[in-house]
Amino acid sequence: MTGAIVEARGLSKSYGRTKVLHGLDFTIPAGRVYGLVGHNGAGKTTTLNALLGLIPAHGQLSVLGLDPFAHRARLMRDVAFISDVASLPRFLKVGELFDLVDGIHPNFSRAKANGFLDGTDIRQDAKIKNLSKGMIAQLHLAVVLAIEATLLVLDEPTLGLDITYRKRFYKRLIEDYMTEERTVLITTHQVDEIESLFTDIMFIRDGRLVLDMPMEKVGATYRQLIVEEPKQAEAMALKPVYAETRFGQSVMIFEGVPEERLTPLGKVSTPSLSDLFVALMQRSTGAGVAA
Amino acid sequence: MKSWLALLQREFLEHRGAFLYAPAAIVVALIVAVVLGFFTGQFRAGGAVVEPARLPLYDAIYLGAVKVWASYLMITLFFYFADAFSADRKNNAILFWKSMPQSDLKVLGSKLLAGATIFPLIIVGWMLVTSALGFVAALLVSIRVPEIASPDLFAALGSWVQITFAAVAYIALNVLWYAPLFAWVGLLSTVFRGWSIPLSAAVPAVLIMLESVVTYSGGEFRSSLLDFLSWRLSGFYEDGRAVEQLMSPGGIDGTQMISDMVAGINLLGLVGGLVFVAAALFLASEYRRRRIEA
Repeated sequence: MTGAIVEARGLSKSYGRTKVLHGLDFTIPAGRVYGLVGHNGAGKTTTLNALLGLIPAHGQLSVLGLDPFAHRARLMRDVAFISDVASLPRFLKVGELFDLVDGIHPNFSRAKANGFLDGTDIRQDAKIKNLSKGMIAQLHLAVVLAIEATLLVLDEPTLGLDITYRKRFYKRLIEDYMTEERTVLITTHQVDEIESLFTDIMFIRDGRLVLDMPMEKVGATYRQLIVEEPKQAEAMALKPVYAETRFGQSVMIFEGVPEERLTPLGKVSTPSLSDLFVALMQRSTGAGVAA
Repeated sequence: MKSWLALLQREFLEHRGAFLYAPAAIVVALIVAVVLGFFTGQFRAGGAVVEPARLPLYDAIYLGAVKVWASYLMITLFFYFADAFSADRKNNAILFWKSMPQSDLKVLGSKLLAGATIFPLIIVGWMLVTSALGFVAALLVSIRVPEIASPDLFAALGSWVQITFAAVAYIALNVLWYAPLFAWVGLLSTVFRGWSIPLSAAVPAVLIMLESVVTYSGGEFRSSLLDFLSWRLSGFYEDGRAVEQLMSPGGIDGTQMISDMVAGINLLGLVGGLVFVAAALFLASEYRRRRIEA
């Protein structure tokens, strides 16, 4: 294995007879912000669980040079994560939670955690079970961001949070937390909201990666064309990966077609991640150009 | 060390209700009962039952309290282990605890350690509170029941030292002796959660039945497993020995009581039980390592 933060080769996972991951191959280097996007049930959480050593999986998998399932406890010194469900222990008060994490985690900074709670309505003497769903998410984010970790894994971290806090959280994530040594892996359904944060993107469908690419390459590879009415046939001849009619306009997404060939046919732009996601998911089903 | 202390603190915070608040409620109820008994004169009825000339009342009250608290501890520990080994799976909290750099073996080990140290210590604390309350109760009874001599402070202090000494040993040995039972229900809890309590009895019952049927050769049904469990659950110390000491002219001798307890312990059984505990802990941790579902 190389000095990559995460390296997976042939990563597979089955539950009984159901195969959930079909031999994923990917490498995550240091200092990147990766987005892992997929439909519900596509295998995102299973992939993350395997990376975090929470479940055994087949294939070669190395996280920070360790086999995550064999060395989860050791790995968690340098990895912080939030799962896609609220998981903070309800019987504790906020202050007690900080006390415990301070005792259990050698890389936790209580001062930082308190700092992340500034500006929220969460009090130290509040019982976690009495906090709202959004406040619990804020508290969990404060705990996780207060851990000096090399790899931060966030599975739907802002689910249930209002737009103000979501923006604030991602701002702090990038400005205060992110460094060249740190790597962040995020799964979210709110891709449009944070696509500017990502340095790399992975799309997963039915346990298979359908895209694994740096964002700058995405912009160079995929193009969206709003086709002028008389030139539709000409555009279709360039074999778009996806085509649809949107608000009366014909929109197509192309892969690897030079911009100069598209410009005469209409307005060319880089597709948003959500548009690209829909396009590539449709292509996987073979329905990409049915529209 | 710091992480062990934090994990023990976590167990205390999660399960303090059974070991701190419930006993506090019992002690408050006892205080109310003693005060009410004094003001309503109900002690007199009790005075007719006891034999004042032979029974040192304070010693009897304290010894009774030791027995009650030790029994309370054993029962509560059984329910504690039936819950604690699967408690992290409530509300998906296991995902949070697994994000901490602590192994499953260590986390479950901390639960076992809490059950063997801080919770018995808390109950010993309540036992000591009750011992003071017992002195006040003996004093109040002697005021209401003239046939009973009021307890002598220095004699009571001497008894207190002897009984406390023996009581701490009794509780410690009980925890060690019944540890396999706690580990058994803990192991079942890891896998079956709330079903661990009925299963802890049902599984041996089925095995005993199978053994009886398989080995039946006419006459009575016999089961070596039943014999073993009956022996194990019957404990290592007969309460009658303590009553004998209480009634003896020399009074309670803590050292003698401890000697009786140690003599009653089957060392091989004790060590074998602890090996079973270690095996159950390891199996439970390996199961927990592979599970994240709530």
